[in-house]
Amino acid sequence: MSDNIFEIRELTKQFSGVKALDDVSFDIKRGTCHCIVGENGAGKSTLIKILTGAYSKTSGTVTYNDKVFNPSNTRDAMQSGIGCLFQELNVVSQLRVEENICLGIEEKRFGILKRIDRNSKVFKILKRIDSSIDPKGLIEDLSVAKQQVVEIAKSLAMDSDVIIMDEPTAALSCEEADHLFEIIAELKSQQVTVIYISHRLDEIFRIADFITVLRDGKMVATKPRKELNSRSELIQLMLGKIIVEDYVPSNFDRTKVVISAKNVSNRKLKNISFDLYKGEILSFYGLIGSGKTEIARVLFGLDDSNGSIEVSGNKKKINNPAAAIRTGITLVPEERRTLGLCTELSISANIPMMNYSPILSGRLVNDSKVGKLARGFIEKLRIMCRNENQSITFLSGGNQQKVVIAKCLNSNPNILLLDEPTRGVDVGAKQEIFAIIRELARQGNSVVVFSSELHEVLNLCDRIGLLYDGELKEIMENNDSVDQERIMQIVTGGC
Amino acid sequence: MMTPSGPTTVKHLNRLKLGADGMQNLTIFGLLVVLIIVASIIEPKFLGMQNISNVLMQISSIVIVSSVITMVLNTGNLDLSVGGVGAMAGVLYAVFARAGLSVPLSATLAILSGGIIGLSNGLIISSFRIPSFIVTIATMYIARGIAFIGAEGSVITSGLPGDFSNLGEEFLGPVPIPLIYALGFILLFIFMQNKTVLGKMAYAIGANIKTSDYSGISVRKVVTSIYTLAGLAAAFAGVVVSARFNQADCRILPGFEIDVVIASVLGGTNINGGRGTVVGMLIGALILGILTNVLNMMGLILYYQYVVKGVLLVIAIVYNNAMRKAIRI
Repeated sequence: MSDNIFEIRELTKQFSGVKALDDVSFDIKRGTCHCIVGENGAGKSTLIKILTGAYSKTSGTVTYNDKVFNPSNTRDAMQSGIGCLFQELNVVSQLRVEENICLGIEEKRFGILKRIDRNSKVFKILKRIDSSIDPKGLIEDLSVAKQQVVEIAKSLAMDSDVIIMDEPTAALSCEEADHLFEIIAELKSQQVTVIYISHRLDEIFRIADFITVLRDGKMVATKPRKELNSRSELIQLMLGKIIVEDYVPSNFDRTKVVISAKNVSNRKLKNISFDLYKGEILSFYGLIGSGKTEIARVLFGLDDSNGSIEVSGNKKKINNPAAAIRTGITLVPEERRTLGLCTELSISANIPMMNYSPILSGRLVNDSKVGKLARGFIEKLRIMCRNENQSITFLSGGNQQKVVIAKCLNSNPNILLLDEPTRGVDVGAKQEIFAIIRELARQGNSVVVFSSELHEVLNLCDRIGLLYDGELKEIMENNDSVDQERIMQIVTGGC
Repeated sequence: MMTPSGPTTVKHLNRLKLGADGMQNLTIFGLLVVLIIVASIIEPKFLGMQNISNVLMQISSIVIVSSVITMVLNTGNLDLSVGGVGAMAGVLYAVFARAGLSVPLSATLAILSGGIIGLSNGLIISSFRIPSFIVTIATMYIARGIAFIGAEGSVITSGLPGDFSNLGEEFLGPVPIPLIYALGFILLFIFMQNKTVLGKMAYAIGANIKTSDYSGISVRKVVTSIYTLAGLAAAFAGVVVSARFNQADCRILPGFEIDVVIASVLGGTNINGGRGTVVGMLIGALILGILTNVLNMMGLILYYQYVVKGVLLVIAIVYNNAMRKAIRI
């Protein structure tokens, strides 16, 4: 057996004229953690889908364990030994853990399931990686991290020698991620290869043995991690250019309050009080479950609350999104694909959803105005697409997010709420979205960013509200003297 | 970085416009042409004026109701009550007229009764977010039950005023009036889909109801309005059928709720919402009508036609899914 578990040669994948992968060649060494990085749309997921049998390649060869590898479907790939941990987990939540790990590998006799054998391999493996998981417990009671562990155990029980992990830490806390990295180390020690995809460069520097950088479907470099000196060197490879735009304090007007919230409470929130000024970018920073999204939901009229919220001096309660939009408040929600967009519809059908008046002549829809409105935003926000009739599904994450922003701007807001505005967005689009947000604030709009990424908060916001467990612990000014360690202490409940 | 402007963009644009709904309409239109050719070879009488008129008359009820049902499907919902509502309105029309109310008033009241069922459907489905098929199965029973009660399980033939049948029997020039109604509904709902905010919102709700909520679209208003229109249209179709036959039969429009779905889905409407046009539905209804007509002329009794229609519906749904995957825009 050669050292390389995968040898990829001149791999190309074409979608109706667009090359998603273009002549990609590299090797993956057995028993290593091989990270694949690149902006959204660089070809990472296409590559993964070819390796897992979801797509067939257009040309080129893939050798797996010294044999030419052409899986006809995902099941085929799974049975040849390729395990997969997707962003959205493959577990059935109403089943017990033991039923779940036997799903698909259950032993049958005459088509009838054999009784679950708790001494079988999969239970031993599960116990070895995480003894705290009770095989009789329900999957839905487990945290995402533990569900992932169940998935990994399942892959190992099927004798996988490769496990592909696609953004596995997106929904994990720091400690849970640490545990996952320990598991990865153990997998490597048993000669299992891990192919790891993530936007989090810190993680990649921590766990990678090799890094392959893709850009626009082409392979830019495959290097041992040791040869890369810094994050910015990696970003430079990914982007082909360096974008550095650091935070510049702005002089917003502290006499004009646009939102004044006093003692806002509900099931998840405890006495939240703050003022939002005209032209400022305020952020709420906290870990998952700290109450960020809940504040956004209350302000946008999706959830009920006690306490008072004055918007531009008006005490009238906002009970639904339509009322919020009329008052000039708009929300870019946390989940763009399920809450922000109709992914099957075109760009031009999505943009007017919050406010149809720009596309009307009299009371009727005017098709040329529909196109004009969409083209205006495509140009202004630099949305990369074939044209305004393209369906959202085929845009990259960053461009999808820009469509959500366009949809919100079309409601002529003066207050923008953005919940995790750059989650799952590539580095380049992230900078562009930052620039859009800064420009909106400069024009006198007020912006509230809800974020769990400190890097984002420090680069973008004028003031930072720190949340822990539904409480607003402190609002601090963002300047050179910000003490990051103290922020981390507060949001993790340290003081 | 940006999309290239100039002639290439224009070319793309045209291709894309055809790509989405046009491609599908074109394919089923091709299917329709093939069907017409095959039918006229098998049965030379098929292309006769009399037969063509028959086919069109037979699908006129389907076209009237399916124009609205296409929009119901756009919102991601179903309406299985339309057959029952049609029968109910047809019977109520006769009951009112027999009781001495004027024909126009009887017709109006009967049609409004359908609107009430539609309104209830819409309010229940959109307020409680209950699956539409179960709600409309319930109202289908209620409406059909009222029809049975009104006609005492049979047919009302006597005691009807002389002008009872005018609504269904008159001609506009050489054209039977039901065809004019059908044409009117088609034009009205092509307009509703393309030119009104209601039509655009219907697509958005069907494509993603949560995103619609988050965008401030009043899902309740939109869904309730469209269901009310569906109830009114179904009742209108029932009244026209009663007028045409100059009697009110509580068993009219059997399997109608499925026929209207078949017409829409054949025409490229996505059963899960977000996609589908009235123009496509018209082609679908023609295919359905011609197929039924040919089967009739070949002497295939009704029971076999159910099997054929069932198979047709399955093929249409599978075909739609395949098309959606094939067209990547």
